[in-house]
Amino acid sequence: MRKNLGLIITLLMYGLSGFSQTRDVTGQILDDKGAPVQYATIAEAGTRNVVTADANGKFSIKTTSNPRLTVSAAGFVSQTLAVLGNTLNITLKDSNSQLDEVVVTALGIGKERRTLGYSVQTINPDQIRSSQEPNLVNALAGKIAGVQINNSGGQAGSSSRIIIRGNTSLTGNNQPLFVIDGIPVDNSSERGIDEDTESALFNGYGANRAIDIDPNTIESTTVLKGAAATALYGSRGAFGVILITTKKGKVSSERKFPRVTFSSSASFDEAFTDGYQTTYLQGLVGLYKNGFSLADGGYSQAAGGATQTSGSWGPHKDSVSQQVMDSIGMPVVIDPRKQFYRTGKVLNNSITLSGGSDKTTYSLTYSNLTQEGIVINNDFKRNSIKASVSSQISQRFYSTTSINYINSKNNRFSEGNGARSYLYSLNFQPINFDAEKAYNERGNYAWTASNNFTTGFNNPYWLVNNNSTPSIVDRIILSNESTAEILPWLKLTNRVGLDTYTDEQREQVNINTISVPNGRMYDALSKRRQINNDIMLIAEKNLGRDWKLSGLIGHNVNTRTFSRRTVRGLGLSIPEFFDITNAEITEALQDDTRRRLLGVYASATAEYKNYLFLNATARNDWSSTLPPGDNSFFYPSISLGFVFSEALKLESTAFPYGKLRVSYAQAGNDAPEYFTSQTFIQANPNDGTRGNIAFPFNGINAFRANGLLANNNLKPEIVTEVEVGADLRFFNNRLGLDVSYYDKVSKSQVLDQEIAASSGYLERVTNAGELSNKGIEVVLTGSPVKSKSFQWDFQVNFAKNTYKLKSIAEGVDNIFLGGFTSPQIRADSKFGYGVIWGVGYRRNEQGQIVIGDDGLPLPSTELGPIGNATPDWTAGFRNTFRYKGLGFSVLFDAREGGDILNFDMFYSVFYGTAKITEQRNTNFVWQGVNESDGKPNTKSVFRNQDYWRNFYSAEIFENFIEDGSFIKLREITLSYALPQKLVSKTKLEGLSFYVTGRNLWIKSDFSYKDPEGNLLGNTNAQGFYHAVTPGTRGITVGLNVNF
Amino acid sequence: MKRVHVYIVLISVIFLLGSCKKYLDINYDPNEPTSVTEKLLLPAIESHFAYEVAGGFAVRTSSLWTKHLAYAVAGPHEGNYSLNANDANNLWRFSSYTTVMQSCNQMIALADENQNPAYRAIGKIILVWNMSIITDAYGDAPFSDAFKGSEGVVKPVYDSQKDIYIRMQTLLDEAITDTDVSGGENPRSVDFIYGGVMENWKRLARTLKARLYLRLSSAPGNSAVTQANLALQALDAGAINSNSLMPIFEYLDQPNAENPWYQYTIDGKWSTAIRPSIYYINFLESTDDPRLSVQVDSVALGVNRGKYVGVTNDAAPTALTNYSSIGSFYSAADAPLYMLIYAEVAFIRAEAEFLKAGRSVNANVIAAYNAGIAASMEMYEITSYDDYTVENVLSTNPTVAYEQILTQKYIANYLQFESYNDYRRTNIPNLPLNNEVYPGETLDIAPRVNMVPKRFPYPSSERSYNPENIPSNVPAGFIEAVQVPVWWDSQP
Repeated sequence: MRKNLGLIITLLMYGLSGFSQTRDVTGQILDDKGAPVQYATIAEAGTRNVVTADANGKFSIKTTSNPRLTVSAAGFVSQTLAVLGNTLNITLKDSNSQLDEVVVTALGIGKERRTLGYSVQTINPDQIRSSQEPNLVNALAGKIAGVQINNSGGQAGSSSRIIIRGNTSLTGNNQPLFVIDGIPVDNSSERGIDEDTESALFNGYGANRAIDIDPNTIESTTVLKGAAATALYGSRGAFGVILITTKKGKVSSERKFPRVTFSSSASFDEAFTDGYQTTYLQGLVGLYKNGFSLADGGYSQAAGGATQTSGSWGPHKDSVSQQVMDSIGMPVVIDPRKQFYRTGKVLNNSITLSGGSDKTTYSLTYSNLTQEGIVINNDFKRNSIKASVSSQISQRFYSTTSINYINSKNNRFSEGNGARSYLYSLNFQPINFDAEKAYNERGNYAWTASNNFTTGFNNPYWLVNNNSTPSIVDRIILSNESTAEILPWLKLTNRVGLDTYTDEQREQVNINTISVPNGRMYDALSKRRQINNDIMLIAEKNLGRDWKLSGLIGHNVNTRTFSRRTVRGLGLSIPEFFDITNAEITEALQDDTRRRLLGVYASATAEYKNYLFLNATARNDWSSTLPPGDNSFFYPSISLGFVFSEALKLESTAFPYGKLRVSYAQAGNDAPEYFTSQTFIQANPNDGTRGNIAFPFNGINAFRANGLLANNNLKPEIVTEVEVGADLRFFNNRLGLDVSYYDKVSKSQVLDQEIAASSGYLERVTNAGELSNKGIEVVLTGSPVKSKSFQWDFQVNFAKNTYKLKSIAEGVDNIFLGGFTSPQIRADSKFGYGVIWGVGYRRNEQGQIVIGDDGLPLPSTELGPIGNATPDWTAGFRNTFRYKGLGFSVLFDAREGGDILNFDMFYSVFYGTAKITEQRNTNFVWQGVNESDGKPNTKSVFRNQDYWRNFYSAEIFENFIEDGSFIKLREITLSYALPQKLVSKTKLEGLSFYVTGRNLWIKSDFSYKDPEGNLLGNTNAQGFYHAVTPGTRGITVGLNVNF
Repeated sequence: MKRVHVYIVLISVIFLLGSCKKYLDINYDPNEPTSVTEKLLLPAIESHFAYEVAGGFAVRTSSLWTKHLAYAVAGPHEGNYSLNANDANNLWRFSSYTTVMQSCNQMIALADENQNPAYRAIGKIILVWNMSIITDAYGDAPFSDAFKGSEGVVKPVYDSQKDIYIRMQTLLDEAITDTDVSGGENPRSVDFIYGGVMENWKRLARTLKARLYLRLSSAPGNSAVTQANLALQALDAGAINSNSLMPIFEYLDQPNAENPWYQYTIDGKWSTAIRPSIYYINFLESTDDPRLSVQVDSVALGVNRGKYVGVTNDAAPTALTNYSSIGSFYSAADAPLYMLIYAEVAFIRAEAEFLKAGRSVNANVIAAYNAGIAASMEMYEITSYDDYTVENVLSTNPTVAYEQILTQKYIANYLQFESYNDYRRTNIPNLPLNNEVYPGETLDIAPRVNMVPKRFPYPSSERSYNPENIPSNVPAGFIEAVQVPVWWDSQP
């Protein structure tokens, strides 16, 4: 019954459709000098009815019978006016602000920015496209205050994490909700197999599925940060909302053929290979070994045998002894990392056809993105086709339907801690060993001369040719929005959406791969589906001259299902043949979840004299993940906007605008699935390392106690946020300052709290914990120079968030987020969120490092905090210069703090490939105090092989904590648009070219240069850098043509 | 007309809300059952217990400390006596308390409800067996207050080891009683260990009773003679009396069905560096012990081909293939796991008779001692060991004899956690520290503690989530912690 709700409502509305009047309004928008204003936004006030003017300022919009239209454009003062006739030519006044622009707010309701009591930030499509990132999340980096992006690595198809205003939930995913044209869409990272069977620590994560969204289809992106802004999304919006509006067709009745927009670009990427020494050869204690077994021409300078070593502790490349040269000649030196990574390439082509009659508009976009990653055989390909049709079915009924089909293919390689991760060998490869040659000649043959496939390293070239996890995603996003005008002031809108995809993931591990010598595979089919329906009754009415009231009530149904079927094959019979029939043993694994949510909501806004705006919302949700009978929860919000400059008549040229905002909001959040009933799980004896016994065993099945103690008294978690802010403009709007302060408290978090195992359980589901995020966001905009032909604009985004864990649960002061038992990433009541926990230096009460008699720091006796992965603040700084058709923009992105546990270095120091081991055989005095007498240490240590192997990389993980701060030249773009005069002589409407550089300059102290990177993908455990494909820098050239 | 439509919409919304109870009642995991039977729990209990506890971390670690094995990679690791609270976590947290013992409790409760005494008996026996490994490794531990998380007890108090031993004996007595109760369902084929033969379970229960009585031979407040008598009573009531009745767990030569020693040390999934130690191989070679070729495989290829070469707890100077592996008797893919061996029964008897006789040798002692050696040899199907018996005839000197009994038990209990218990209880054999070097090499990492560790440190999960109940005499730092003996270990 319920599933048919949308249909019923839609049908009902068709029935209603004969009762009201609509009309077409067309016109042109010009500036005060008479030139057309490009791409202005024309919105019918109080509705979602928004169109965009074309490059010539022309537009067409279908409206209700007595519309009020708001016209806005960047750099101009918006106007709202009642329309009487069918044409409207508007002259916009120049401005430097976006004071009165219409922004899309929760549930897709367009509102004038000045009426809002909370902070909203938008990004125009050029800023998304210019970044040329295949993953939409990466394209947001540095552009919005309070939004933190972390890319997990340089492979094509890597995931990216985005969090807004800090980590709101202790164990929830903290990822914002993505909404496209009012339809929530999925942004999960799929794995083909469960964590218990193959841990991400040894494999890494695949892409977050926002990667399927084609940036070419995006018209605008709005970020709703606080609870007041997202309150109407209810539990789905507790971590913020990214609202994406896609392009729609425009009326073009004067044209014979559709408008065609074509854009094409090519990018070239290069890996950062910093952090490795290139001067010391393979060997031990300064004596050379060449990596081959005796039979294959092996050589060892050490007396008595040719056993090989994994270490690069041999001689300096320029002081190879005569003895070696006499025996095998001068070793040939390569840079293994530089040799391994290729130039990545991205080709991105997109074509859009759009147009429309006075009743119907359409838009059709096809795009193709082909990315060859920097790793051999690593690629990502995306084909997207999106069609959208808007129709004025009758005078008082209109409807928009969109369909988007996406096919994303990705071939990626395991990362992380394990022999199957190509980085786990490449990063330790000696500079005298040509692994590519060895692979071509001998297959899986690495520099420890091992060919019994049980110990040593896999050849990295072997891995990228014989081990992969390909994935093919087929995704469909369907949506329809229909609106009936019941009365001139009352509308009924229904919006229904489906987002569904299948992800076929495979794992292919060839025979003779070290750690899986017999090979293995899996074939997994994951399927996700989300159906969402909103029905809303929207009213707007002026009451006299001073008052205006608007409001809505609505109902929401949301269902999400996930299923995964994995067939796993262990022990292959035939090499390079990855069909399940080739496996000696097969296992079938399955995983299913399903959840449903119902919600009712209401929102009311009162406006007084266009300077005082009061908005209140209320929502009640019923969630299937809470105990039946006790699954209802309610949360309100209230926000106030006060344009005091107008109310107090303060406006002047120096101070034209000032607004204060204040809001209070709650947002409820339900629980993960299946926390309310106790279950048993299938037996799976294992040793926590690599070994296990698969069930059914010997034909017998078995189930055992589940370590998770379910809770049938679970309550929803509630986030309460207070936000105050100000939006101030100065100097004729040349300078703008927008400041927000928020204080967000998350209470009664739904936790699977770890408890003492002697209770019989590993963890219990409970409502506990209280954490707060307080922060400040500053957006400074300005136009220092503005003339007819030259303009300079800048924008600074700054955000600082302070996290405080007030309590977790009685007697518990930390929660495990990820990593190993030691080192691990955790949330800790004393030390904050994202604490890196492990063995540090032993310190005295003054915090000085305690040094032993041998001159070396002592390890701490207890595990403790050795770093914190959460940044102190983030900032972005964009400058845009425009001289006639020539544009130049520069975006700097900065992050202060955010430690990184460089677990790679833990190993690469041991193996002697780390850059810092170039300081080998030098003396060093550790700063600290002697354990024996408390005096400052003066004993010098000789940093030989023994020092690095048995002290430096032995135990103290604090040695590998690095500062993740950076300043990046994230984007630099030079563009040129052909002058209109020139273009108009051709059949073209517009032609522009651009060159963009990405990450061309990075300032950081991180060994591997680009501190973005995380083995644990977009999970809460950030700062865990281990066997992760390094970041890239690149250049893109492209063109856009309209005709 | 307009209004009618509005009402229809509103009414349908209200109607839909009304039916939401059923619509939302879907929160049941389709992948995990909410109820199971004893028949499904028992094979889980046995397989987890065998793989993770009896053949898992406890014996992997203790074998490095009893020098049966050594770990030939650069430390620090367990072989250098480095065992921190994290390392000691899985055995306690995942394997024992939340899987094996918790499932035992659930099976016992179900068997009570369904009147299935056989399942109840096996549940109690494995519960005690696992608990004995926990208390012998960690000392005091939650037992009477444990497993009550669902009643809200998330920080159980610790029972003294003394009380744990009392309760374990009681539970074993209850289990023995249950094996005689007829009726109910017999597990048959789902009992991997004894195929539902309750007589064998009864014998195992009595063997465990004897083992646990003898453990307290020098516990404070206990008399060696009393404990010896109790142990003998348990054995005389009918304990395991042949190699064919040993509790073993059979594995298969198929991926992810192989023997735990094979998966841990042979197949290359984890490490191939865990091998018999130099000390142990030299010891067996110097005594011409015919068991060497069964407990240890000779080197298959390379310069040492055909020889028995052990490793130390340090990176080997040459390829690992130049050293011996654990004998395929124990480590073949389809080798069974020997969870308790019959020879131990004979040696318990030998020692108990020795203690009962006021620490002197008599005919009973000699007979049991010889039976122990014979049982050990015959377990390996070694038939000609007369020379060895002659060479190792039991001395009449009590000190020498006691050392011989426990040394023979030490050899027989190769890859058994029990040999670590006996070592701590008796200090026999006199084991040197793990600081041997390879010929011509130097020591990279010295032992972290200047003694064979006396216990496992309490696990990090208890330190994090139940710290106030951990006995205060065991410090948090593992180096200090492993030097504190457990209660029954009153040897200096």
